[in-house]
Amino acid sequence: MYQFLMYICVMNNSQLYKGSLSLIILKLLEENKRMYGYEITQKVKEQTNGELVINEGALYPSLHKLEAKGLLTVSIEHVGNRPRKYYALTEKGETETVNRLEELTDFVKHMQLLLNPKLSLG
Amino acid sequence: MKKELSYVDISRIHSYVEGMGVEFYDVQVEIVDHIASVIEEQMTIKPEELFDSTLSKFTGFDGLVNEKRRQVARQYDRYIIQSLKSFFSWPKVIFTLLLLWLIYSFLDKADNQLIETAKDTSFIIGLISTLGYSAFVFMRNNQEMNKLSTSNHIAWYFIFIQTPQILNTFTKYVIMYREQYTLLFAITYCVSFLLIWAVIESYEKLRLYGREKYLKALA
Repeated sequence: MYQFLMYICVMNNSQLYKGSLSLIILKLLEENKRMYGYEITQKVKEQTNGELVINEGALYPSLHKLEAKGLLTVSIEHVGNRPRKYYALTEKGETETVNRLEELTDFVKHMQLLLNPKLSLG
Repeated sequence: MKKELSYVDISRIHSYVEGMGVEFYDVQVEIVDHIASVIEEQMTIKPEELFDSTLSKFTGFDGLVNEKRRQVARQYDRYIIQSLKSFFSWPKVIFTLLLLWLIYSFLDKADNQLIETAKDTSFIIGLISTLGYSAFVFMRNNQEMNKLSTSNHIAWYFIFIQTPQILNTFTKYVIMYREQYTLLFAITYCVSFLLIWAVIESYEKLRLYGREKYLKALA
C-alpha cells in the first residue's frame, strides 16, 4: 500500500536520514534549479541506488514546511493533461542551503574525529 | 516509450483524491500529479498493472492535509510578524508614533463623556466593520470554484470577530484609571489597532499568494 504516512524508507532505517530530509531537498533543488515532488523521490532513489526511498507522506509535508518558511517558491505548469507544481529555491533558501551544508560538513568532520580518532590523525 | 494518462484518467484520479477528503486544490494538484506519475511509470514497467488497482493503493491523505494546514498557519504567522515589524521600522514608524500621540492626547485631554461617546461609536463601527469584512471573506471564498488552503485559513477569525467587544470592555477600565495609566492605555490601543491591521493585511497577502501561485497560473 502507498500509505501517505510520514516516514522515509531507508534500508537501515537510520534516524539520521529522517532528520536530513529538508537538507536533501534543498541540496537537490540547488543542483537542479526546479523539481516536482515525484521527480525528487525518483532522484533520491536513483542517486542512492535505491538505498534511500522517500515516502510521499514525508516529502510533501517537508516541501510545504520549507515553502511556509519562505525557503522555497512554487510555480504551476501544465504538463501533459495535468497541472504540475514545481519547487525552486528562493534567495533565502539558497543562503540557508549553503549554511546547512556547512553545518553538516562540520558535523561529519567532528563525528569522524570522535569515532575514528586514529584515522583522522593519519 | 513513456505512456501518458488521458484527461479522463486525470479527472478520475482527481475525483478519487477529492473523495478521500483532500479538499484543497493546491494539495490536490500535487497528489494527483504524483499518483499520475506513479501510474504512468507502472504502465511502462508493468503494463499488466491495472489503473484502478494502482490508484486504490493510495490512501490516508489526512496527515498530509493536516500538515498543510499547520504550514499555512505558520506562513500566516510569519506574515503577521513581518507586518507588525514594519510598523516599527522606517517609514511606517512615523504613522505608529503619530497614532500613539493622537490616542494619548485624546485620553489625556478628553472628558469622560467624550470618551464614553467615542467608546459607543467605535464599538458600533467596529462591529459593523468586522461583521462586514467576515461576510465579505466568506462570500468571496464561497464564489471560488477551487478551494485553496491559503484562502481558508481562519485561525485568527474568532478573536478578530470579538475585538470590538473586547475593546469596549477594556475602555470601561480606561475611563476609570486613565489618569494613572494614560500612556499604557494609549500603547494598548495603538498595538491593538496595529494587530487588527496586521491580521487583515496578512490574510489578504496569504490569499493573494495562493491565488497568484495556483489559480492565475491555471487560468
